[in-house]
Amino acid sequence: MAVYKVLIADDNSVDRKVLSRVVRNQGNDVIEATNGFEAVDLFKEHRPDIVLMDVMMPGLNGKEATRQIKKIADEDFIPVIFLTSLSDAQSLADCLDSGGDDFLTKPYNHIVLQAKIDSYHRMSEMHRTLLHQRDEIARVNKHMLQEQRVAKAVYDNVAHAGCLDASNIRYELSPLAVFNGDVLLAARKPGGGMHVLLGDFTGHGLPAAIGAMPMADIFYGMTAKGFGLREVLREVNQKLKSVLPVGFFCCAAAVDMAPDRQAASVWMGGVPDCYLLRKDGQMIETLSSRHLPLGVMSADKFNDQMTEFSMAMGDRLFLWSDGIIEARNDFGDMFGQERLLNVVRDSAHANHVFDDIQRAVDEFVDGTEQDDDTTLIEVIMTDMLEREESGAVTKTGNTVGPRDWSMDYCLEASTLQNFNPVPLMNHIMMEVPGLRAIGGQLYTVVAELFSNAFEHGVLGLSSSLKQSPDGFMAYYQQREARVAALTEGFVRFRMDHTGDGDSGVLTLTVSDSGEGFDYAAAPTSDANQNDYSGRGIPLLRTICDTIEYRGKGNEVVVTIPWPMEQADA
Amino acid sequence: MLDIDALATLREIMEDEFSPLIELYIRDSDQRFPAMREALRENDAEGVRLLVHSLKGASSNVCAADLAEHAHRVEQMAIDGKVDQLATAVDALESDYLQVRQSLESYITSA
Amino acid sequence: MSVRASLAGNGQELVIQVDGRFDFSAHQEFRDAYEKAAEVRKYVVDLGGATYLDSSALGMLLLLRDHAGGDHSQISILNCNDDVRKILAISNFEQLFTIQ
Repeated sequence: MAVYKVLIADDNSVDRKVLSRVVRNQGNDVIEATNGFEAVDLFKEHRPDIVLMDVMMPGLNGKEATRQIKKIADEDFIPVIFLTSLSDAQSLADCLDSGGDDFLTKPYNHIVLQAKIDSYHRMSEMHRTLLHQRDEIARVNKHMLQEQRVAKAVYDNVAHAGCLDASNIRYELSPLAVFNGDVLLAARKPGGGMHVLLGDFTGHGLPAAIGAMPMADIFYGMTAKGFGLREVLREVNQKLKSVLPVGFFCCAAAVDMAPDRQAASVWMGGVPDCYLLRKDGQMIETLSSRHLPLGVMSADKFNDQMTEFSMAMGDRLFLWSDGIIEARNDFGDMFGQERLLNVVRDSAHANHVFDDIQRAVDEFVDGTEQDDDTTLIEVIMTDMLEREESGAVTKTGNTVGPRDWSMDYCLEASTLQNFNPVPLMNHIMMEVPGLRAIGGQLYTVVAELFSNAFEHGVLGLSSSLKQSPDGFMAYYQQREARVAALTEGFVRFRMDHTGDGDSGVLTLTVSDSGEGFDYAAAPTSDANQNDYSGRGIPLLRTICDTIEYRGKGNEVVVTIPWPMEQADA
Repeated sequence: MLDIDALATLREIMEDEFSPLIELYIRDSDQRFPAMREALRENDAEGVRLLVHSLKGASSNVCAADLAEHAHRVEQMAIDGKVDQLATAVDALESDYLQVRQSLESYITSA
Repeated sequence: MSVRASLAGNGQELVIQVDGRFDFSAHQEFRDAYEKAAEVRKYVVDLGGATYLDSSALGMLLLLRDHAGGDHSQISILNCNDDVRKILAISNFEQLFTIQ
């Protein structure tokens, strides 16, 4: 049995001796005090586990001594048991009021005495454990908050590398969102336009947030290198599938904003319906989730099919995670899709929709604590999207790098089925410092020429299909089917570059295995209905010095001199 | 007057400290009666009360339950402020005590 | 919230019934429901009594699917109310489960 240190305070020496003897016989250490003052002094000196205190003592009485002892003990629980021959209820209650924990009436019953000592000792042990655990929790919590601050800073560096602050974007994301698993990413594409991704990871806290890191990394890295959104999503899906445990995933809506073709391609997996609002605010189109969330399917089963929407300048897209739909009021009702749609529909002006949604949700929940974040983003189609922020490279800048070089690169059918060469081509051109300043335009040229060669040449798709919104859909469906069935064909790139460090000319030749087209018959103006215009040639004319088709129309040569003398950038 | 069984138990508990304890009791109590009278002279009912209270506690510890009970009645009298009756009561209490003292002394020597 | 499991079809079919809110608090019980059952080929998740389903419940269904053999699993989800059905539809879970 444990040895307890027991302080006995009693001015009556006979009583004290007897009690002291009994307590010592039970295996405890005893300190004796003959009055209240001595009790307080001895308490300070010995820090006993338990105090047995006579109530009536001359000088400092038991109650007052107890008050002082309890004050000194501070947070520690030191049980004080009053020794009393008092028997009326009021006196006993007074004892407890002064801070005593219990009383023992004279004459003492030895068994009860020991039981009380034991029981109070257990209580103080428990109290000690509790204090220890409380301090431990406080320490761990402090540590955790510190870690979260660091994690948040790291996360911000990765996730906010993008262009969420662009003038065509408005968003709301709680400052704690990283620990609730909501993610917003936006990045400009090198050829103009923008990729936007809203993600909502399963669960809460750090486990939910951690997947956002590789996601942001892949999203920004691949977008900057010129990969298409489908490829970005495939990569993100594969990464999440491999790093997240089964049962954890990321619901997401991803948008490829393409101002050049006034369209947006949308991929939605596991997020609630989102809306596309026309410029005049009159027409609302609903975008629905068509896919499983990211991180559920293995790479070979992942469906990267996007839905194409035409989007005129000024049209806007609203995306949200389920936090808004599931925002609860005091009665536990959810805000719901219908209320949301009504807010969007009833808004006086397209400009007000974002604020109206925020206000409606705020009024609805009215301070009720939410389980989930309400993440909301508005993306407007503008021509500003077309221009990349101008690069830092100037005409008189760095002249180191390749000057005279050429390369040949031929992609066969099996490669074309699932590999996009545009980022690689772009990467090679970007080695020339003078070309970096026009990286966006070059990207556009390579991407256009490649898609012409691949889609019209190798796959034999007719661009006339793309003239109507319905045709757009049919076009992409056909494309999908033909890519899957592709067994032969090729696209060949040839790049020739000459330069002296201050200026140069890039000649790009793209040929394909297709049938070609009658380029000679194609008028160069007012060409909305024909294949020539369908091939994006007017766009290329603004960038390239010369564009020349050769042979049967399955080879095109463009030249791009630098530095560019364009003023319209 | 003395609970002999309880006293035997106390002796077992206290072992060699038993006789010193009884002697301590007698020494303390002997002093209390002159002190009570002193307090009475000064009309200090509270002083009497504290002394009687101590006697009560100590007496119950040496197994003199009747004396303790008697002390309790006197204590109550002091609390009630019946100063005029206290002098007689203290005398009666002392004569009770003296008998207890005698019994205790003979108990120690006989043991 | 409660999770009940029972065997049917000569012990080859496990029926898991979830009542109330199907959320993270059901995690352990739901797991226990299928991990203890051996020799089961088909799984039926009866959500007739489920009032609500959150993303961690979707996660639990994916865990069950993994346990049941992934792409070769046979799992039916029955008796969903409209809200539950909607959540499953948004996540396109009909691609992974038979939802009736």
